[in-house]
Amino acid sequence: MVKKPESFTSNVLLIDDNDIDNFINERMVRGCRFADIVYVNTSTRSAIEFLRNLAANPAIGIEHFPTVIFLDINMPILDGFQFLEELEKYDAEFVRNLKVVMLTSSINPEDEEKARKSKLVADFLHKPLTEDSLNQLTKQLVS
Amino acid sequence: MIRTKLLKEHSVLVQMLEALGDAVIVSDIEGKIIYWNKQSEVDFGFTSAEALGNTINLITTEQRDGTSYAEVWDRLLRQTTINTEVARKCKDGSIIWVQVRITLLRDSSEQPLYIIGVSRNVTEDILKKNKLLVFEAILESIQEGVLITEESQGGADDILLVNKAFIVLSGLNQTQLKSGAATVLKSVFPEWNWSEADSKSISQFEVKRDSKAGTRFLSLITVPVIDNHGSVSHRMIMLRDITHLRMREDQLQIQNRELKSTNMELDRMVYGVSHDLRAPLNSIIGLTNLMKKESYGKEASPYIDRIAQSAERLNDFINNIIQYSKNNRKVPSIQKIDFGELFNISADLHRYTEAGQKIAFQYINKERIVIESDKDRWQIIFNNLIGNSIKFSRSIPNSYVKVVVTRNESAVLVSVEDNGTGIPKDRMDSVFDMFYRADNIRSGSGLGLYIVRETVQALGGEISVESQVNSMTKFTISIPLKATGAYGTESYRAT
Repeated sequence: MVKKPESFTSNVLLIDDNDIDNFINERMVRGCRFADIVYVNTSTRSAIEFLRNLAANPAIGIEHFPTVIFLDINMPILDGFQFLEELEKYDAEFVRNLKVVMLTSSINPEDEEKARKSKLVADFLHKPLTEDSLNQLTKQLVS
Repeated sequence: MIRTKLLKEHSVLVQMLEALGDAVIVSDIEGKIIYWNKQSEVDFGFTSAEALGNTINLITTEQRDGTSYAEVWDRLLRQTTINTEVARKCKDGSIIWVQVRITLLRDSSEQPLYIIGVSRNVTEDILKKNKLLVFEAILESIQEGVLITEESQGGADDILLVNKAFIVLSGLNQTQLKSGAATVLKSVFPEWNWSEADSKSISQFEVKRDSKAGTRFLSLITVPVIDNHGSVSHRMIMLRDITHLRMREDQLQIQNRELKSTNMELDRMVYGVSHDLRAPLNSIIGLTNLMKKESYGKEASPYIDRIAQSAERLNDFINNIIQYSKNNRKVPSIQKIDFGELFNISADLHRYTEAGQKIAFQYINKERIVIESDKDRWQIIFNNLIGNSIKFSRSIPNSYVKVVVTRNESAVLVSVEDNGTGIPKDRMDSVFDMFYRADNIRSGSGLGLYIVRETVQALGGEISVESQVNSMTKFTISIPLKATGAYGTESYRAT
């Protein structure tokens, strides 16, 4: 078992069109104390809107902004990669501190290759999200 | 006798004959040799002493031509002098060709007295001539057009030789052939870069010709012939119809493109289907993980465990099917193989699993052997074999999986050994079969070892297994150093 460093805190944004997976991921992230705040979006469109609203509201402090996004790939309309492109265009302070973790059922090596090319992508994980993979991710994000 | 007499009577004359570069033979009218000069000894091998007294049939050869003594005599009576080229048999049995002038000498009353033969060895010239005849015959019969030019001062090269095929392929006519080579070639092939062809190196280009019969592609190659002084003396221009070749090439390219796109579509389909099969399955596995973590009481846990196991089994099966489908169509990418790195990747996949934590992972490559091969395929082999060792480990304190890389004179040997449950003797033969499962307790698709063997074979190697129940299992992969095909291990080095 990989031990989780004590000092790590994050705010998580989950983007997945599958409610069951969002349910699993949210409970896993909370259960493992990976995040204090967990936001959930069931589409990339609503996620973009959510981030835009967040940035536009001066009343919301930076401590409430997501720091880690778990991003599915296969989603309708705008898929994970297209969302990444949108995010890269979005010039804001909190985007520079964002880490994106791809979380997918795809085992196509081309998907991983493509994801790793993006500066925002910190890791590429296969579903389901487990305690082990979260702890390993924590270690990686801390270092 | 006669020679002595002759020598006495005409000593100056005879000395001249002896010094002559031509063979001089004198016979009487019966054909008996009465004089045989020095050059005759040289040309035919018989000494004067050996030849004298024999008839001229000593050196005639009937299989080569009909110039026996009798026939020559017949002709001599009619025309006195014969100039001819004949074959002659030497003392050592070899045949030489001579140019001979045979004269009948008559006395004052016109009675035949002596026959004098003066001959010159022309064997080499004849051989050369024959060779040329053969070359010409070959040139006329081949489908490649050949034109040979002779370089001359001022660039107005002459056409020395041109074969039928060249005339047909180029569409030249006889009038055109009479002008200089450069002019002719430029008029027929305006595309030809003469200055390049003028150089001392071989040049080549292709031309396209549209005619009523359809488009034809011709390949033109010029080869300079360099003389002893380092300058171009002749130039050979070869013309070849490559229409069929070009058509096949085009066809191949189209087929290759089609195949590539079909392959890519198939890839997309395989990954797409795999994703859609795995997504709900991963949800099930994720949910069972949560249930275990959030502990829903003792009563539920056996059920949860079994749901998790079944889901994992289905997951493995899908992974294997995908791997098999990919493996079969994969284009090999040859690169340097670091077995240690492959081992670490495989070990890391299992190190933190429940079974993997109880196992010692060992890797031994004393000679630090590196080969060039298909890395992805090797990873599949390692993942499957190491995975099996962990899956079939016994819960004993000193469980291990050991990968050893060695070599012998002809092959690189990679073995994966464990001290797990082993394979019963009666199942050993079937372990590599498709969908065969040697164990009904542990889950599996029955594809793992089948894929391993297919992969090893794709790499040009072989796999064997030895095992003892509740003791050990050892798989050994042998890849020949000089594996044929794309999977060369010639670059093998032990550093």
